[in-house]
Amino acid sequence: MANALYDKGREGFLDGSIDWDTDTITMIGMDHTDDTPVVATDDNLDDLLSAGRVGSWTPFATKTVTSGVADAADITANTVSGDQFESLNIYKNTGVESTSRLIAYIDTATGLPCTPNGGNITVAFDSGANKIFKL
Amino acid sequence: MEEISPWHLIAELIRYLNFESKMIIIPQIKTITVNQEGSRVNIIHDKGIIELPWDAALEIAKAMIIQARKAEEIAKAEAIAYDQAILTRLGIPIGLTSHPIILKEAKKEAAWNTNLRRYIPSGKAKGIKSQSVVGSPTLIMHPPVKNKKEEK
Repeated sequence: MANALYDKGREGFLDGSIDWDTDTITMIGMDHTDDTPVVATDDNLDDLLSAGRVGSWTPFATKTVTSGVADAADITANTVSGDQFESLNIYKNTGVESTSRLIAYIDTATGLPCTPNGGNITVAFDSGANKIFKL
Repeated sequence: MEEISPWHLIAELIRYLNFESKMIIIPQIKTITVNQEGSRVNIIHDKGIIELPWDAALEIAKAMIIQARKAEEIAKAEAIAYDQAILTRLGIPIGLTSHPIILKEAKKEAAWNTNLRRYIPSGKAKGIKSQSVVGSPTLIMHPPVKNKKEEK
């Protein structure tokens, strides 16, 4: 697959249930051996098997939405351990997995797949025109 | 000759054309001749002459082309909707019109037209994909922090 927006994430932007610059947005890594995300059907965080989740990144900060391009400051997950993960999955964190809408799936990035070594992992977002993603 | 502003002439012409369009219903053949005389353009019809400065004539011509194209779009709405439906069903992101009603009809045709469904079956009908793009980030791994006991 390639980097893509979840269909339900796209829907969330249209129906107003996701507000990029005011909602709490965060990210997790996903070990595809346990569960491979499906962008066409997975809707909320509970669709990603908890056994496959790796890392806990801090919520996105300094988010911007100019011209439909979503951007934020680079984020770091502290002392990441666990299995190798093949994708990063951005989602809106409501605190409840069944309502935390999946937004973007990233499996094409420098450094992926990634095997955690117990240290911190920083994700530096694309500085090109599309930043994190462009609607 | 009394000097008349170009805008007055435009208003005059519009009034004349409106009058003419009403007259089309009556089976009479009217001819309009357009010619040029010096720096002015004359529109000659059976009720007289409208004399326009060249720049006013150009402005009227531009306005008429714009309005004529809009009218043509409405006159050919059915064909445009069908052509747009073919493009939409094939997944070709080209818009033939920005008219919302024609686009709505085209969308309906793309989904439900019997012939389109027969000759462009769902396997070939790709639809237009989202143009959204997801960027490609970089993961930077930091070495694990050793605790003081391990260091000793």
